[in-house]
Amino acid sequence: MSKSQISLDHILSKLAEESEAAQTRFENASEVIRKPLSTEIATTPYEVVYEEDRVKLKHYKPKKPLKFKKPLLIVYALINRETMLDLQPGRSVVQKLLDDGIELYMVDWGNPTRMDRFLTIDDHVNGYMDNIVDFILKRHKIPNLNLMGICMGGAFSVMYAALHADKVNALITTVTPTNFDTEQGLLHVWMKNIDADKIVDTYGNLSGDALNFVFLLLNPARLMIDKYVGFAEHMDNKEFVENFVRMEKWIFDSPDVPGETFRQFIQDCYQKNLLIKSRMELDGKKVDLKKIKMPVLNFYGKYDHLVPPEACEKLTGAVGSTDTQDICLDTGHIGIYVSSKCQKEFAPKISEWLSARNKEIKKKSAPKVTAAVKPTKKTAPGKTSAKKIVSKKPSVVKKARSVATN
Amino acid sequence: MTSDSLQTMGGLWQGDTSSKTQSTRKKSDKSSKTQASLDSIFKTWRIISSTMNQPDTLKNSMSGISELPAVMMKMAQTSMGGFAKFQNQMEQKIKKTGKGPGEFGFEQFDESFFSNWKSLYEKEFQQYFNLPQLGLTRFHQEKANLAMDKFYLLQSTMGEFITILFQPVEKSFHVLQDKIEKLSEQGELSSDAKTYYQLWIQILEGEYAKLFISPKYLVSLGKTISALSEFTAAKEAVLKDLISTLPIPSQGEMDELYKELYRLRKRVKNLEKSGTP
Repeated sequence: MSKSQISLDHILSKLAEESEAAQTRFENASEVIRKPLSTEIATTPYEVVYEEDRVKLKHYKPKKPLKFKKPLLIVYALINRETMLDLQPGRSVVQKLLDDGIELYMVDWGNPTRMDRFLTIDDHVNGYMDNIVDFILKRHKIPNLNLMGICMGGAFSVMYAALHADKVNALITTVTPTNFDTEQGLLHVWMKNIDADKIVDTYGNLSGDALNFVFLLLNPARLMIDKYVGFAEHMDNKEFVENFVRMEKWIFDSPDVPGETFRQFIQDCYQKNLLIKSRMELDGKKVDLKKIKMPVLNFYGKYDHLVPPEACEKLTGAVGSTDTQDICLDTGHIGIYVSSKCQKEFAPKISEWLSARNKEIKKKSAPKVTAAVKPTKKTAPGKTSAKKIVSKKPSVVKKARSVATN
Repeated sequence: MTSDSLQTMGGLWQGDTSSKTQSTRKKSDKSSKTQASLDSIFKTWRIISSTMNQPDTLKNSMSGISELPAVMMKMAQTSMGGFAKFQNQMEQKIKKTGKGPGEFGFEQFDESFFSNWKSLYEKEFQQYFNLPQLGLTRFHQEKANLAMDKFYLLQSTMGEFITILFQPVEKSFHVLQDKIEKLSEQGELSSDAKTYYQLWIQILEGEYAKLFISPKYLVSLGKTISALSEFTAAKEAVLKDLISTLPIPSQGEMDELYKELYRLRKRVKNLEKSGTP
């Protein structure tokens, strides 16, 4: 063995320097964490306009004049919370869309208790979602609305659009698993080996903590070790600590998943892959994807380890719509919504795409809906123009047809 | 000597009980039900003591007692045999430690401590929790035994799962050592400790990625979840028995209520939606 070019005393002196720096860092860090921190999430003002059981509907009204009449309803997953879309000022999809003059409604699924263990996917899609859509349509006196689903909420939105096509003007799916027959993501591999019956029959609901543990196991080196080493290295930086804590708050805020919904999602989707084959049934009603004839915009992340591209990209080919578009962003599952790079691509693209598929409101008018919305202090970005922003990775337009459906 | 003493005691008891019975009979001609019962008991004891008084019977009983050490020895040997096998497997495992990282392929990951313990448990101890239970409390005892059984199975399954889960950490250190040695040979060692940390994290991430798709891990994951569910169900069955003595509804009873509520709520919503009054 040849002799190393670095002498031991050099390494030791370097270590001594580093430990000195670490000591100073921890001294400063203790100052930072002992003082009040701004770690609130979901600060954009909203009004709860509809409630049913544990489910709430949040209404966000833009300060700017509305771009088009039909609002956008966002349906989040039952796993984690919808607050991720409004994580913090400057990293808020909600705020970006509002700034673009899009009126928003967002479903808050609440915290299921043991009492909710018998709720099925049908109850969520044909029950809560349909009631919410009916409420919004009645409120705005419109025949249909724009629907956006996220992850599992995206799968629900696909089911809804197939079963209630007349009520959906345009469908946006983001990191939405529809093809479960893939080995790309660990979750897909693991879920095939899970005995959902045993879990649901024993525990009733699937605990949010158990789910979080599974997610941590997907990459323990990064999520259990490196992440916190990174935190320790930057904990003297107040802004870093605040952002980190906000993310921790969101990640570990996991409601339980109703047992019967979990059972059906695992068995029909992960294990039998029925959704993409148009063979899934909700309370006896067949979910035929060919009935999705409205425009479809499908976002997914190239490095998504939870819902890999292969799980998302088949949707546009399976639906009956002739106006479909896939957009693969250079990011992961959460990065689409929170990374600063994607903040410049994601929301502006939605706004641009919806504008082309909704009749724009010509005159400057205030929204007809009366809702008490407090003014926000959020600075209007205005810096980002939808025309300038295109996905870094060229969007693959499969069957593009620009239509104004209103 | 012992048999002589027992013979004498048997004789004394027989004589004593027969005289007591006769005197009791003299006191009361009209024998009551209590008296009849007492008579029956004394009669039984008399038969037993008379039988014990017979030299052959006593000899047979004593020979059974003298056989006890041999039976105990045989039982101990069986148990010790299991332990010896377990120890031998452990010894083989210990011999493997200290070998290079190539030895740690997850596909070849052998049944180690916990799986050996599980085999031993299933072979030697589990049978005692499956003994048929008798009497009034048999169902309660059966549930308690099942919970204990599932607890021990969970311990071994969980232990095995955690051991598998920590394998990448062990392997990553071996690989890191190899890499540092190579860097040292090439004179490319970094003076920055963070470089080694990043290298280690990268290796660890890679090892976990390999582990998580290995059949061994998938089987262990499935078994652990099943074992946890089975233990939870068995534990809840015991708790349900305990709760039944208190004025508290059980989880099962609440679930029945929730299901009824769910059905009613759904029915009302459907009626409301369809416009039916």
